[in-house]
Amino acid sequence: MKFFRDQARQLGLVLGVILIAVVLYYAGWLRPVEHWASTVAQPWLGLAYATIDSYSPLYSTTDSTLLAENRTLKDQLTSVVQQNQDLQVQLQQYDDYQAELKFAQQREYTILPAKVTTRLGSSTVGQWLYINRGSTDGIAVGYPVIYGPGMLLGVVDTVHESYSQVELLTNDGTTIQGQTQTTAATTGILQGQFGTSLMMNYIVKDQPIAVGDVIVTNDQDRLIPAGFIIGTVGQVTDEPSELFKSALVNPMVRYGNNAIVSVVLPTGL
Amino acid sequence: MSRLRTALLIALGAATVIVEIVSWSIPSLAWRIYPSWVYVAIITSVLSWPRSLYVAVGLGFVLDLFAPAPFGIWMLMLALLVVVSQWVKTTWVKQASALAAFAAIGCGMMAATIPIWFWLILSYRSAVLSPVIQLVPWWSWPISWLGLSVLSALLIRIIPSPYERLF
Repeated sequence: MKFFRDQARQLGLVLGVILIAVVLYYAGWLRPVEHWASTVAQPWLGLAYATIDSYSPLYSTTDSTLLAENRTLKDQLTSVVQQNQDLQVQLQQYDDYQAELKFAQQREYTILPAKVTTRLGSSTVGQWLYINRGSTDGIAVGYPVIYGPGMLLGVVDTVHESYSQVELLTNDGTTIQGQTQTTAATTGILQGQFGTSLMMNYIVKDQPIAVGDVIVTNDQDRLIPAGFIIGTVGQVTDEPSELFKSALVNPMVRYGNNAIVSVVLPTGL
Repeated sequence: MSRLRTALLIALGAATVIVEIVSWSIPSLAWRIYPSWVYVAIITSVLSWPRSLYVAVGLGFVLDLFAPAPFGIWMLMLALLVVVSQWVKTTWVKQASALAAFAAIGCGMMAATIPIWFWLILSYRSAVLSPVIQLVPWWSWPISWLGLSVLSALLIRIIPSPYERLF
């Protein structure tokens, strides 16, 4: 510690100079000095970077070159992101169709893949999908349309030459017969409501049905084979004054835009 | 000191500033090699105390003008290097040998890292520093101390000092 006692004056002086320099710098008073130092050092730094450039080109590349390269890379990135998005959509469509095809092969149905091009309507007036398959593809009114592993989406209700309109099961006025996917099947008639769910009516009181039961088609509709999934029971209503029970059924279908659906053809029915 | 020696010292200082600044942008050198430390280690032998301290602070001032670190870090670092080296060699190792020089400079360099560490700890999570710190393993610091101290001690032994009392 003797050293520090002996040199206190010099050390205090240096510390004071450093503090004053820091204060002056942050007060902005050293900007001219900084500018001057930068101007003087720049040619030498450029020379040093150019020397290093023989090992790595990064240090002598000009700003304009870097900017141009940056712009090109950004364009490429945008393009690649777009390509990736397209591929993700295609991958999803492939997965959709693979699930539909697997289901169809297990049940020995004949299916025709179709792309959802438009979705029209609202929950109040009903919702319709437009698919890119029409009469030239062999589509006819009443054909069921499924999504994924056998989830019934709706039924073809209008057919044009190159496209068709599909009415969703959840539309008001849509009626289909169904049953629970249990050993002792409980049957009922499902009617779409509010564009969001279905109501299963005419369930005989002594037949069991519970929240969570899966409801499937039961081969009672002429063009709709048995085993297509309609939805799951969300609520059961059993009024003592009513002759039948009813159940609220929530559809399981969740599909995105550009989804691949399948029209089930009657050849396998 | 002759004019030639003074001119050589100034030229070496200017070159050191350029090499130091350039080294910051080279990932394999940044945070590992400090040319200014070696230069300051040499001036502790070539210049008398406290002149070596003033030159070190001056060099730190110039580096602070260019450094991405907060202004004042380099002045503090180089001042600590000189002060601690001087303290060690006048208090503990009072002999003129390469080993003594190595010990004094090594302690000085360890002290010089204190401002850097302080800054790194305060700004560890900043977007600029985090990736840099991750690239530099912890053991690069002792290797830097060791390598730069050995190099400095050898240079001090090679460069004749006008002050016999120093090393």
